[in-house]
Amino acid sequence: MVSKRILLFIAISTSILFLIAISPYYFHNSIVEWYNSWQKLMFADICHQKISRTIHQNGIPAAVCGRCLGIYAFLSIGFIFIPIIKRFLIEKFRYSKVLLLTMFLIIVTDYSLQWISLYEGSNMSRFISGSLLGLSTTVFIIYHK
Amino acid sequence: MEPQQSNDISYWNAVTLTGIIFGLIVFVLNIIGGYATIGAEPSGGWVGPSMFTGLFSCLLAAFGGMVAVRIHLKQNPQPPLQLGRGAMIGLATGIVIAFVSTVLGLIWNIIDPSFSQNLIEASIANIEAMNIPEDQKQEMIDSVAAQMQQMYSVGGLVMAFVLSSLLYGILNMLTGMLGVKFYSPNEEV
Repeated sequence: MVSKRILLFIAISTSILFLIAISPYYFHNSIVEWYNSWQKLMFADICHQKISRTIHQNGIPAAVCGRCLGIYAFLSIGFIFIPIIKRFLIEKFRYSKVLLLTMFLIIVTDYSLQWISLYEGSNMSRFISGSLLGLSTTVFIIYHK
Repeated sequence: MEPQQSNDISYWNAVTLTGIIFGLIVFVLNIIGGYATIGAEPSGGWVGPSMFTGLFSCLLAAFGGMVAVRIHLKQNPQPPLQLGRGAMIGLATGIVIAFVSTVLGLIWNIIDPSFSQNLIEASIANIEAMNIPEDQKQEMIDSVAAQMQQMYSVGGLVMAFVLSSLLYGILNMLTGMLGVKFYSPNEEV
């Protein structure tokens, strides 16, 4: 079991990352503004931020690619909802490690296949693969003993 | 005398060691990326060579928390280690990584004062080669020049340190918790 204080702290921290990642939608009006934004600068070292692989809203990209956005979104959602699910619905889950390693392999395979141009995924497929990794990470941290 | 538990022993040894090593790696890869950008022909692309070295260095640095937990447990093998303690080790490691890479970046600008100026010029040359309307191009050039000059000022460095501490801190906090789960299976609440 993970203490409530830690879960709250992690949920707030990951939510902050997610909110910063989507904040260009609400604070910038053009790609030029986005290109020079502190949000883009902050994530520049951890995400390629290719415009074609980033989810747009009203023509403005997020600060991270679709895959990273999925990871941050579901880390945040996971740390808020998985403890509730654990408390009221599923008390034990024995396969959290297998789940995490499987999702990690899926995301590495997906990334590698796109890297060598074997297939071209969509931003939605990137978002989904990222969200599965984010969710499985929270499941692992909360359920694994 | 009772043996100390992992949770009572200071973790700063592991945090400092890991933070310095990973901070150095981040700095070296960022410098390599910077020189690659300076030396590259302006392609007009939105993604430059420094982005790939930066991406690799940060992905690596995100696992500093896990490595610090591993080192802490190697030095103090008595389980169990609290999950919250692992998170703290990761958070502290992330902040040390950000601090070390920022300070080394500052020192590098003293060693090679032309580095930042050359990087600004290379970035502007790349924007000039971009296939975008002329007014947007000019706006972007002005903004990039102002941003990069500010980046190497004291205020810019403090801002860079705060942003990278936030990012590295949170990511390493998560990997620190993963480290406790992987390396200290009997972790406490």
